[in-house]
Amino acid sequence: MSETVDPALVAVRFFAYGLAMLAFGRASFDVYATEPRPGRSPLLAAASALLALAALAYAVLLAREASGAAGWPDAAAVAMVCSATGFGRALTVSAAAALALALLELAARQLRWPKLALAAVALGALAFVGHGADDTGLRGGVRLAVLAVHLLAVAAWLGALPALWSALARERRPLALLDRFGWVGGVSLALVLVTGCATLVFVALDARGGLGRGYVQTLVLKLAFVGGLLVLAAVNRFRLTPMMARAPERARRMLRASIIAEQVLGLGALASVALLGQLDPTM
Amino acid sequence: MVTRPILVAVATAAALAPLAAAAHAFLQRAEPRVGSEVAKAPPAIRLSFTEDIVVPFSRVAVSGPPGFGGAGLPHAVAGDARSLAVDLKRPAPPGAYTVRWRVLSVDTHVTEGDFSFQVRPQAAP
Repeated sequence: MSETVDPALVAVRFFAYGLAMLAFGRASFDVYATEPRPGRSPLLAAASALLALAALAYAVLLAREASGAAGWPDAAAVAMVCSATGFGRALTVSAAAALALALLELAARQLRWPKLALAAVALGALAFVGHGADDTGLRGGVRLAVLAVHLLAVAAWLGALPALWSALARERRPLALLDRFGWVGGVSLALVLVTGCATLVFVALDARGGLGRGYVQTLVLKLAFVGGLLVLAAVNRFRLTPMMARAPERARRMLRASIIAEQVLGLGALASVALLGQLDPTM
Repeated sequence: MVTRPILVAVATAAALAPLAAAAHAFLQRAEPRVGSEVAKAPPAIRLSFTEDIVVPFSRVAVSGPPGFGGAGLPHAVAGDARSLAVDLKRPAPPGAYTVRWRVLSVDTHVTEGDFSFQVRPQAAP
């Protein structure tokens, strides 16, 4: 038996998850931000539109992989993947929700909750694409729910960082905003840890305790990125946020620099996840 | 503070362990058995995997001794999402058979492999 990893699939997975998290993070930030943003969000519109394209590209690549034929798959094969497989239907739902979100963002500046709901559907559907769909029955349902919550929690935290970085530059009440973000980030982080551990248990049980070396190495790399993120989050929350009261300009500068570092680490973690999704945990 | 929810999550996941599947679809069982020698060619070959598979995107090729009539397209096995079967066309004479499979699992991954079995010559009456 053999198994290969297609770099194109890893790349499209990276972009699909990254864009979906960016869209959900931006949409959730708009719900709790202290000041309404002045205009439409090019970031939200672009991330959503690109997510729709990435989901479609993902389906095309999976159709190529599934058919095993050289070259690009024909439209019938792609349509069959989108209609006859669970992951294909999930990608179709994700693309449709992302497209609707992009159009809604272009059409209306408000409607924050409908936008958040569409972003949640676009991201949550991706839980069905990959190892999350390994199980069936009650266990399969629990695993998918856990993974969907994990994705949404990560996105509420890391996906909102670009919006926070941008808002901090102009925010008149940065402490109030940081308090709200700290609360949302804290809840998200707790959910990330709980659902992350549960997901790892599911994977380990499937592998019957025998995780492969390549999978473990990639997992350790991901956990190293997550560890760095936790350290930066703690510095932001317990050192830089209090500093905002006594040295606002310095704190604002340092926070924005720290947020950029967080995003770099987040991209590293995302790349590890994109690869993990393509690896067989036992190899 | 978050230790307790983590323990609850881990315990819940562990409690669901008896229903475990494996990541990626690998061949778990075949009928005729892998490497076996059977007295008579079966009407169909059945392959069971460690995970649910997508039959329309799965392929099975069977090669056999001279005179073998070939095999049909893979089809689903009722009530078993982890298995597929291919019907053997007649004649299926004694000799060595090789089964090459390529399956798409529900977690998007493609796996492939092969195995052989033998059909014994009929003993003279």
